[in-house]
Amino acid sequence: MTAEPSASSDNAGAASGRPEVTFLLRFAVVSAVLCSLYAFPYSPDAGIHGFITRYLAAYAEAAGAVVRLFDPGARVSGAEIFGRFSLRIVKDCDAMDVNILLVAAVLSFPASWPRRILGVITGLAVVMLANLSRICALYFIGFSAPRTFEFAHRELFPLLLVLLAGGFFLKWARSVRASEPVTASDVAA
Amino acid sequence: MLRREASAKRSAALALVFLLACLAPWPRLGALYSSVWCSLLEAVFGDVRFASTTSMHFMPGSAALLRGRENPFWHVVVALSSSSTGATTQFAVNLRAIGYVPDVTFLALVLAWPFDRRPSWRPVVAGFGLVQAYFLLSLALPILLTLSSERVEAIELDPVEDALARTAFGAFVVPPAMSYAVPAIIFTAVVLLGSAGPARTPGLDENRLPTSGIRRLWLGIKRRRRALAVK
Repeated sequence: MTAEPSASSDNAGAASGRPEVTFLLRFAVVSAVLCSLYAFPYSPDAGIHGFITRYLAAYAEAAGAVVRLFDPGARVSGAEIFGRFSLRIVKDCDAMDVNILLVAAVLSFPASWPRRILGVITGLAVVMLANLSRICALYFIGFSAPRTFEFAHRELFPLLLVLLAGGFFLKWARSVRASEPVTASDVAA
Repeated sequence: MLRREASAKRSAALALVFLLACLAPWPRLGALYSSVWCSLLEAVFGDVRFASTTSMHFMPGSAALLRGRENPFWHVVVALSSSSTGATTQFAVNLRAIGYVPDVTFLALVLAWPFDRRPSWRPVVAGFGLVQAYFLLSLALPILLTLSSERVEAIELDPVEDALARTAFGAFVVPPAMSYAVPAIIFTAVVLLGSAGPARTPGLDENRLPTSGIRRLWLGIKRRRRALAVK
């Protein structure tokens, strides 16, 4: 039997005892903190700035490796991919926003820590693979259908990534609920 | 159960079709959308002055104003004019990314909710209001940062305020996925918190709560809700 809420608007008082409210609050806090840490305008002299630059270069190298499977003439320099079309990997190209939202959702969901960690690792791997495919697809769209590049880059692929991350989270949460009973600490913590 | 799942899948497919149809490049939609918003923004903020010398005006984007830019008609050009120096600083904001896409995403999610379990209209309206608040914030942040820039210097932000504005802009406005994620999160929140949405307690089956204390707490909350409903 599922607990049925009453139809009245009494939820303000009862809200604090509801697990979905706890989940939403945790999700909001974790995602806001992680998004802010990533988007903070670090000084160019700060160590983290150099780390992000190296990370984006590594991302471009990985994307370039995928592109080279289909276009051996493509090459990578720093965070840029050159070839029949040039792509520059900047902060928004690494799907970090989607990664952060997925990680925040998994970490906020009432589940055991091993399951959460497994969910985070699997989720990040899935989104990263999808994003590398996205960059590869954008490279080919860039020289074969340049008029659709902006739509694919700004609207279609972000939508697909959000759908993928949302779908992954729902599937993971369902599998957790099916195999793991809700514990006192999960609900009340 | 199977029928409910089939209904949910059908609704989700409908919503996806609706969203993709809305994202199609409909002729003149961008010009219409940006001119409506420009008129509204001009009516509300057209008389606002910063540091008593800088005024703000909104103009619909055009191919002539925004040469070389994709989708110029979906943009609004914000002009900040200083009466003391006579200089005008202009920049464009893409209304499609910060307004139109979040709006249609939210509407698609309302459609996606299975017909037999539609949330009540109040949380939906509240959610749509929050999506508009996100739109206004996304518009306000670049205006704020330009007003405080060296070019304009109409307002002064201390380093903490400046870092906060830049962080919020970089975190919630710039990433393209946020155009979908923000309305999706708002929709999830209003449906989960909304008074009449049956999905308020998704899957929390009290018989599966293993701890008697938690079960008692849960039943207590239910009893309290019933008592409040009777009152």
